[in-house]
Amino acid sequence: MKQLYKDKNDSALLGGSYLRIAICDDERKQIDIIKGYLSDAFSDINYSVLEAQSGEELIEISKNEKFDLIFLDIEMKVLNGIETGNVMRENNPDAIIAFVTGFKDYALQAYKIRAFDYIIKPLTQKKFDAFARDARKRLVEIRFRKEKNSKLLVKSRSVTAEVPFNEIVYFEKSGHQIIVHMTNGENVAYYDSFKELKKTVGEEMFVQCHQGYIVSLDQVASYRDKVISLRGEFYHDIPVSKAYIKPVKAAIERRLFD
Amino acid sequence: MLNFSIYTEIILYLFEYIVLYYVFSNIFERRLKKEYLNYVLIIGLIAINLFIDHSVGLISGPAMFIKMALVFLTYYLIFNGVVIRIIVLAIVCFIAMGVSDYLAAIGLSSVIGTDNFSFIQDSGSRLVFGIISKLIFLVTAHLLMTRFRDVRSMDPRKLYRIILVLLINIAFIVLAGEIYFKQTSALVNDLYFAIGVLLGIVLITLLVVKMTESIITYSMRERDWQLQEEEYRRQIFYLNHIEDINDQMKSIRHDFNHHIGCIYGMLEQGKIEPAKDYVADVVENANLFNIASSTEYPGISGLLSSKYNVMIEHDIEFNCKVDLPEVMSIKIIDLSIVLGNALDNAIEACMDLHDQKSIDLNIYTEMDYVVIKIKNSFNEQRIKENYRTTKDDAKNHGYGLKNIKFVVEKYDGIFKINSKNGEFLLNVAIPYETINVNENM
Repeated sequence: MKQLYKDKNDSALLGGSYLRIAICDDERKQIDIIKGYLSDAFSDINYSVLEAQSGEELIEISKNEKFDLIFLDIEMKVLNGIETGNVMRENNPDAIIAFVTGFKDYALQAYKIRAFDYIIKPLTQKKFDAFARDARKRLVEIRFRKEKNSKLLVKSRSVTAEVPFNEIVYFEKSGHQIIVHMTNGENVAYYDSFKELKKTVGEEMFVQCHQGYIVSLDQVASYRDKVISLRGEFYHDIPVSKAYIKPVKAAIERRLFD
Repeated sequence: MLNFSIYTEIILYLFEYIVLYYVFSNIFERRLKKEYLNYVLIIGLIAINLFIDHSVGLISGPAMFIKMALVFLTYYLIFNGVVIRIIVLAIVCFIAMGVSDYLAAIGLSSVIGTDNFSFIQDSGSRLVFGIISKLIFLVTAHLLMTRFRDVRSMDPRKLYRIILVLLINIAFIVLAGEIYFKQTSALVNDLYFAIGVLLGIVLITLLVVKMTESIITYSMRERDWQLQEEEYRRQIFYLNHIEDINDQMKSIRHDFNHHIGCIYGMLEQGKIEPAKDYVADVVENANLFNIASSTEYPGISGLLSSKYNVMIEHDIEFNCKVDLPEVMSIKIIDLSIVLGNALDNAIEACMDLHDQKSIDLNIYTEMDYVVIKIKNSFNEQRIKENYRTTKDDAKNHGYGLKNIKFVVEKYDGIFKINSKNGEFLLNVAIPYETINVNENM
């Protein structure tokens, strides 16, 4: 039973890698408990643990280090867990931050930071197992995303630029050109076909919703009545044509529920 | 009479090409962004067709060929698609129209009581006949296309409406035809009759569509009210429950000393296992308080904790993680309908099991949606096809999912159910905006 959460696939995918974990709690006992649970849950993976007994300490000693997984106690003196988490997030954009808390109320503010989880105290084996199962799945996903080429090379007569995928809102076809609309409201155009573009950007993050549009799922706010609404201040609606309704819906459902 | 026959021709052509346009727009994408241009093209096509008809004559090989080519060209200009596919679809449509012409002719001649189709020579009846035949084609094409796309997504209400419109119109045409052909005096001429029939069709269609529309919206609204009214009653119960929990919380300080005392005593005596069990019990109790304070919305917290009470009674493990936005445009009463029904279903499914009874509830925000995921174990053998309930109160349980679906659809959200490996999954996503509609709750 205890080993149930060790998914074989996770193990194979994470096995070769090295995880860097940070634990920050002002109570020594709590750190030891988390370490104990970790050695069970991640027994098949190589990992190192950095311990800190206050938010300031963690920030100080981890300046030049990057983590995959960070445990933060919320109720700490001086800097609380949320504040520490915000600072840590800047240096560790891909880390999973797990708040350990006695109260649910605090965690409410926490979801403004991406990729977080929280475990409500007292930390039991069962709760930790459930967390570990999720975390392993997400670590694999993050790895997978990182490995892929995450920048688009835009080459035209006037400009040559590298656009990171996460700064792209959507692509628009205009004649033989593709216009790349970016999160800062600017755009660049270059010559290519949607067919080729789809090969480079993959299907995980981008979905075609119209003969003339490919949208980044990261930027989608909602889909209603054949229209995709986008996040942000620069762009609003993108039409979805009949042929693409099914794939668009499927992609959004994957994002929402998986 | 010549004048009138031209009008007939124009109307018939118009009808034919618009029907064709409808079929095409369901299969291909429109090339032109400005819709009026499409109609300009179609009107141009009709004009050229009329010109050819009058200068060369209706039945002439080359003329037919040119007319067909023009149709292909026009629809190729309007729609974006491979030429061959457009031509094939147009030919298929023309053949199907020919078939429906034939069917309409048989039908009409049997109504009138002649065995030959000579009545088609007459402009008025030609018009009526042409419209009936195109309608037959349109309805069949519509049914086929919606069928093929996705049988399950087809709204039965739409189907009923189409059938109703069709039936009433056919009855009207038959009746009008009957009266027209019975009267022998030349008081009413063809032109007036045809215009009358056309107006009648338009009027009846509009009327029926409007009427069914208002019936549908009214019945939807009534169901919504009914659901909300029932839920308000339950909300009172939930809110009372949360008050009870608040009272319990107040006495917790007293309990704290007691619990610590007990645990200390057991540890002192080396009774580690009993101490662990005792702590597990206390933790479970604390879980109730955590659940009761898991949201900013008392109605939802009350619902969750009162359902958790039921789960404790039945030995069901409840893993609950709730993150609702602090402000949202989703009414709490609607959320309460979804959660209440879903958890009731989950509890009921778990009661069939002897062990490993568990329910996972996850509520979070992703994109501009509030996502609700409920996973529960269930007895696979006992769940029949179609997620019909296994209990005697089949009506109630089936209603549960229906009610959830109704609310989700009201918000234009996503509703999905799934089951595998002894687990039942209910996934719901409701779009929200950060506008508060819950101030009065």
